[in-house]
Amino acid sequence: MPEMGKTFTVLVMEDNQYYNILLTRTLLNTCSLIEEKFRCSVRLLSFTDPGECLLKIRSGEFNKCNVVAFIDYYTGDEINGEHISKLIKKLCRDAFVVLLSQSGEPGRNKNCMHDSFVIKDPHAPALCCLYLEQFIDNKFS
Amino acid sequence: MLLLYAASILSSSLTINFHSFEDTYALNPAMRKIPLQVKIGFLMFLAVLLLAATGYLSYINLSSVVSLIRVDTKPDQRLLSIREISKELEKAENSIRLYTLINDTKVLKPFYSIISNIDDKVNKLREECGDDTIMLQQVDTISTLIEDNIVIWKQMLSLNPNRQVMENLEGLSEMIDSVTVNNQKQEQEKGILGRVFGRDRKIELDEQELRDNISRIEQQDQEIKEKLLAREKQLAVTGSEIRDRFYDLISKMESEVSVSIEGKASNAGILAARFYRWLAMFAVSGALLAIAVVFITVRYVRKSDAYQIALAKSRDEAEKLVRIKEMFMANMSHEIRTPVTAISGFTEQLLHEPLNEKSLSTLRVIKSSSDHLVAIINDILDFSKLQDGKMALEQVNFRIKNIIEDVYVLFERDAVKNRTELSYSLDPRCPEVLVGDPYRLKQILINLVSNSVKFTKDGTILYSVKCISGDQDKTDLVIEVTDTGIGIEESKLKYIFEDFTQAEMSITRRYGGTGLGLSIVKKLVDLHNGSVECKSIRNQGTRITCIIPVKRGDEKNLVKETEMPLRIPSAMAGLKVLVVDDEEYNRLLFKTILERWQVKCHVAVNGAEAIEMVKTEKFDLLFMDIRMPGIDGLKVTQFIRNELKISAKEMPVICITAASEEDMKEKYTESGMDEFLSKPFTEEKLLKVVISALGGKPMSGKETKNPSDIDHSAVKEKIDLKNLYHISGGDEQFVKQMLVTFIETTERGLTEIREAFLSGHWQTLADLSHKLLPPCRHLGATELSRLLSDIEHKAGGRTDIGKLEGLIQRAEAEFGNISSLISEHIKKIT
Repeated sequence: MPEMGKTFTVLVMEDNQYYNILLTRTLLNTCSLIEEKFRCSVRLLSFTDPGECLLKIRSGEFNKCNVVAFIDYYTGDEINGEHISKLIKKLCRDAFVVLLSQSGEPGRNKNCMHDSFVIKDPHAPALCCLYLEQFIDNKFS
Repeated sequence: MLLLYAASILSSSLTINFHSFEDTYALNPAMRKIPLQVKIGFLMFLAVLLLAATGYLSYINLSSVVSLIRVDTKPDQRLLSIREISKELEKAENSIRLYTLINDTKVLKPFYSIISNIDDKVNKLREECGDDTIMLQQVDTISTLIEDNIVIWKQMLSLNPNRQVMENLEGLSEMIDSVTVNNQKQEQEKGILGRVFGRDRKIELDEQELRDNISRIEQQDQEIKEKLLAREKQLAVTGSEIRDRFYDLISKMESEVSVSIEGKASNAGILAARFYRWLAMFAVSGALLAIAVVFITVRYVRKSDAYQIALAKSRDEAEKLVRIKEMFMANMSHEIRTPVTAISGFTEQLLHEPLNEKSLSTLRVIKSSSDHLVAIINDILDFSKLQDGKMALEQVNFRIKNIIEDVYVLFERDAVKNRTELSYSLDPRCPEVLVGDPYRLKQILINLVSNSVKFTKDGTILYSVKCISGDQDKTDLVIEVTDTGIGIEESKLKYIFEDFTQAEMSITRRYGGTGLGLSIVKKLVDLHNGSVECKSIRNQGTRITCIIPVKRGDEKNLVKETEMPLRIPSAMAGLKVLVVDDEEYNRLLFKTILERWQVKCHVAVNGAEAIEMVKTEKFDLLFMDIRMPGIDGLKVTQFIRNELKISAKEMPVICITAASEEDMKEKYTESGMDEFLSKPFTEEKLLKVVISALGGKPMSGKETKNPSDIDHSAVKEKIDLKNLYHISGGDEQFVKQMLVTFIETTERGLTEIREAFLSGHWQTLADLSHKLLPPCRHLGATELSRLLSDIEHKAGGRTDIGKLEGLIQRAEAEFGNISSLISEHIKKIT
């Protein structure tokens, strides 16, 4: 169980600027509520460039775990959400990774590292917040 | 000694400081016995004592120094006397001199006064000199000289030249006067002519005689002057000698005073040094004591802090243990109840099947065993809650008769099995309706009757309910259960209400049970502020009496109990129900029961799946498990209610959990759940809950959306800004920014799509279309979304490539329309 004052990191990787802002904004609102409720600190990092996102992950900032990542599956530049998801899980086994896609869940096999999947419909930002809330709830219960 | 003791305390404290917290007490057990208050008090007492002693000694020393100073400030009396004598002598001499000048006896008055007192003053000086022989000798010399002076002065007085001259002159004058008188007589005798023409008689004076007299007077005067001069000389010598003597005396006295001052200064120095020593000692002792007090206080505070930390740690650990215990209880409850639900549920389902008698008998045993297991779990959970003080009593109106009858129905069969006669009575004076917690009162009665039934064979059991005393509002409910069972030994009676206790171990082995029944009864009665008493005779029977205060109720306030039909209502057929549970056998049990009721049962294995299903399909009812991996049931329900905007009227949600309703009620109501189904459940219970949840809701058919529900934030039906405004929380600038971003990214996306089409990069084209879909869907740009989706599928599947251009053109045109609508909307945002 984390102590009060613990820091959580929320990572958003969505290359579509509109959807990125939308998701980030919604998650930020939830982060504020979570910070108030659990007296913890939630840091939100948002990326539209998958390369930049991978660099940030490799920088070792997420090794302390308590990471919730919302990754778009189709990120372009020959990098998909599963690549990012694998890297996050490699560096931080306890991280919770949610893949986002506008269509159904991409084919799941034993190598899939993500924990959940959200369809990018109008309810997706709220559902992401629900996952974030649940993750932190579980950490404190 | 005290200081030494204080030092020993301090050193002990210092010694303690070097050891660890635990070692402290182990090394110095004597110190442990001295409480902090005593230590501080002792040190304070010591400080006060030290302060008093130092103050007293300082006072003594200071007084001595001050008295010395005071003595030195007084003038020497001998010196004063010398000065006075000297002044007197001077005055006397002046008086004599003045007399010699003016020859007035009046001026001699001080002289006579002085010489008459001079002896007294000299004697006084002699006395003042005390035993100082040298000074006495000096004083004697001065006395002799003064006497000589007085003799000289007297001689001088007698030799006063003026007086001699005056006497001579007077003689001469008398002589002249006598001559003048003779002449006048002769004149008178001559008559007038004789006086006018007569010759002057003066002329007749003897000139020689006058010359002689004058010469004699001059001679006498000269002699006197010489004598006076001689006396003056003598007087000067004696005066000088007297002065010398006086100076000697004074210098001697001054040297004496100087020596005395030196001595006193030396004494004062010694006293001052002593005083300084005391002050230094006081300062050092005070500082030591202060250090000791500070040290002990700091140590105490540190120790206190350590205790606080230890206490907080213990509290945290205790709280953690409580949480672990609660979690364990919840887990245990969940883990046991879940399979028991399946066992009990499927057994019940199998009992509906046409089976042979042996199978039915076996199934009944399984059912009974699972029911028994559930009862034990319930007992343990209740006990845990009672122990933690977490059980709250309800205050509702209820019929006591119903409770009594229910209990009878519950145990009648078991009593018959034991060939025991079970009966009950209800005091007619009891109010029909009471206010209290009927569930807990029933539990008390069940536990008591259950015990009696268990331990009574071939006997009788009577349980009665009476009401005694009380007033208009309150009454004491007396629940009495009497049996003719095995009874309890008197010595063991006091233990029977203790936790996990049965009168004998053999009872546990023979009759079974957890030993919690009576303990729960006691705790529940205590919770009601009542009392419980047990009387028993071994092998004769037992009587347990509980007195519980309750309020009188009102018929009008009774909760009307709906008579639930035990038959499955025909309206149930065709209902579309979603069951969300991660436990496969629970899902299967629901499916089995519901499908037998001809209900269309859909299942979801977790919350996320349930959300996806609810988003796309409409259900009449939803069963939601609470504890699930991923998102829990409460959050999923909240999401359905708040985000998907599916109301309780459209789709009631029934909470299914292993926890008790009391624990969950607040949470499930808050999250938007409507009913509660505790695991394990019976088919009857399930039916009751379903009917209660559906209430007056039409049981099938898709509802069309009410036109009034259409969101007014839709802009000419091309786009729908409802979601965006919802997320913005009223921040119009955010909406503006998002709309601008939407136009920019979609415009760019469409350009890239066009380029990809022209270059024949179909996968890129599909990916780009795919990318543009979520924002379009979010803004409710349905037509554009549809077109982009078509483009994605056609490009991705390389099918109907020929239609792609048309689709892209339509998408661009649609975007043009949307873009102008959005631009208009942006203009409205200030």
